[in-house]
Amino acid sequence: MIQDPLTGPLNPIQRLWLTRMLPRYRKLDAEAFGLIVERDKFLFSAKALGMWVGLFCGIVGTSFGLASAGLAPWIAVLSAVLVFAAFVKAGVRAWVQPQQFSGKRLWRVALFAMLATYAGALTSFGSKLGALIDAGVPWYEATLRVAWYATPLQIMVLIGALIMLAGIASARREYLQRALDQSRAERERDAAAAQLTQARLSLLQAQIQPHFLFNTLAALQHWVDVGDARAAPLPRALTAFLRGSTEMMLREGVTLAQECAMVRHYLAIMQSRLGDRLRFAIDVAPDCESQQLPPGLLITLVENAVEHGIEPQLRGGEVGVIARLVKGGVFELRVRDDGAGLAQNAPEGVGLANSRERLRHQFGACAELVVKARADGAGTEVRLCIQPDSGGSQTA
Amino acid sequence: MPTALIADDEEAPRAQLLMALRAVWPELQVVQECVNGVDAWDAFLEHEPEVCFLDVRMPGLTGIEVAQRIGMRSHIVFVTAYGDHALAAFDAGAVDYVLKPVDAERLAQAVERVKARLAAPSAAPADLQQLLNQLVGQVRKPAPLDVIQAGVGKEVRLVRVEDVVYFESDSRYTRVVYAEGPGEGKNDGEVLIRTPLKELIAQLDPAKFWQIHRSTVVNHRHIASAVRIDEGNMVLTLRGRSEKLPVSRHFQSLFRGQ
Repeated sequence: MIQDPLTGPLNPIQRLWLTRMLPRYRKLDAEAFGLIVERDKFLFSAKALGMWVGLFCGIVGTSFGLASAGLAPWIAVLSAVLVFAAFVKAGVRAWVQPQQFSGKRLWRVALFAMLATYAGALTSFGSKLGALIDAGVPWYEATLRVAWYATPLQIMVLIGALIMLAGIASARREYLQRALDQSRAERERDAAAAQLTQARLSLLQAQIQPHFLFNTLAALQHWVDVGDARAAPLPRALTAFLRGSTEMMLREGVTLAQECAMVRHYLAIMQSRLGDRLRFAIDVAPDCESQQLPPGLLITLVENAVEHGIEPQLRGGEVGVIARLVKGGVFELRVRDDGAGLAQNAPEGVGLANSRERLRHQFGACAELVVKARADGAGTEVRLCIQPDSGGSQTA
Repeated sequence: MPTALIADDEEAPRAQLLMALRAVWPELQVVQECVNGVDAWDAFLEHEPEVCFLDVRMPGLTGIEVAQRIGMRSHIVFVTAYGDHALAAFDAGAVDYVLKPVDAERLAQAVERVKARLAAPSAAPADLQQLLNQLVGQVRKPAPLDVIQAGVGKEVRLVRVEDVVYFESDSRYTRVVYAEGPGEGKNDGEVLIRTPLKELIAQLDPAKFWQIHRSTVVNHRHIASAVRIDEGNMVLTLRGRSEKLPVSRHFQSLFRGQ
């Protein structure tokens, strides 16, 4: 990811500086390299011009101030330049590496700055010192007096420096922390989205069921080859079923009426293949038609009834789908078959477990799914009950 | 003329395979088209064809179970719409299979392989037992039959399956010969039920009830001994009963000294 920093729009100064400094910078790690190149580009860009002007004025002003305080002009200018350079360097460092400008480190830096400025003061006020000593004051007392004289300035400088550096460092830390939090939140969102997509994909794969598809196509192929009339309605039903399956998987919920339409296509296809072995009856009360359900639930139950109930039976059987609103406004959906019955101790299939999960997600404790052997004869019944006012809050 | 049977529970793929075979292997004589696994097994016992084309998923007995029972007595070609794990196993075990819908070219290749095996005098059909034992567990089976309900006049007699000595098929009916154990008002008897024997076979626990003949299934607890009469003939004697039940050639390998 290290692109050549010399590409892109650069003004002559940036180009000159970077060309000179790049060999040294390349020895740094990628992140520091990036930061430092950015910094240098900024320093020499048009936006930074204002900063330079301000800096220049600051130096000039301070020099005049120092000179009027008694320093020789050239010392005044030098001091001003050094001080400002130190500030700027320290400030930039605080920006780039804010973790180094907190706690104990900050105090150490402050202490060092203080000593440095005292030493600086003594040197700059050297003439004053000399005058005092000449006037007969012992050297240590003279030193102390000059130091004391310089102290207010020291304190101002010290406090100012500390505040500025601490301020820059903490602002930068905050910024970095926010960036870190943001990127973590983004990563979590991406992971969740990926997981959701994966779940939907597996659901879709399970829905498409190659076994069903290829067996149906085999039947269709044969009927087309021999000119059997059963070929005619099959592609239409298959297309409608597949389209419904795939579209449904993308939605949060479907109405019972919509899913029943798909169930009818599926059962029509299976009946044309199995002939007399499959009989079915769908009985949905009109006031149930708009009940929200997790998509694919009903079709899974019907497929289970056909695959595990009817197909393994030598003589076939009948599948029934009954939907009613019973006492208390409770929605009741029953899928029954008079087929092979439940295998003992067989673990629940993936489709059913998935359905339970989605029901729980959409309705919580208001929905109940019970699978049991039929009391009135051989076969299996799956009963779904949904309490009213359960939300079904997902948008269709 | 080589003989074969076809088994598929759906009519369209069955007819399609038949048509394709007629085109690719005209000399082949298809002796029976079977509509489910029990039908296929019964047809095999009746006709003993040289080749069996078996759909994998069928009611009654699956294609795998039928192939297990056939053993090495016939060449087996499985027919399947979509393999899932089975195809990988088939490939690994050099088992012949064709996919549905039947593609003429692929079928021709499978047919060539079978013809080659039929032509080689010493080559026996592939021994698939181990592979089939692996695959058979993949299908859910309902629990074996517990009780037989037989109508006798106005009465419906309930016979516990564990009390049955043997089943024998008798034209359209099945004879159920049973003996209730000592201490239970010992009751010997027999009833007739309408369920064909071939269908009963699929509902009985094969570990307890052994088929010894196309028309006979015996509860192994009641077998006293198997007596070889001559090269091709064997009979079973039963505990405490005088009947002698013939064992057909296919099943004689069940009775071997250890």
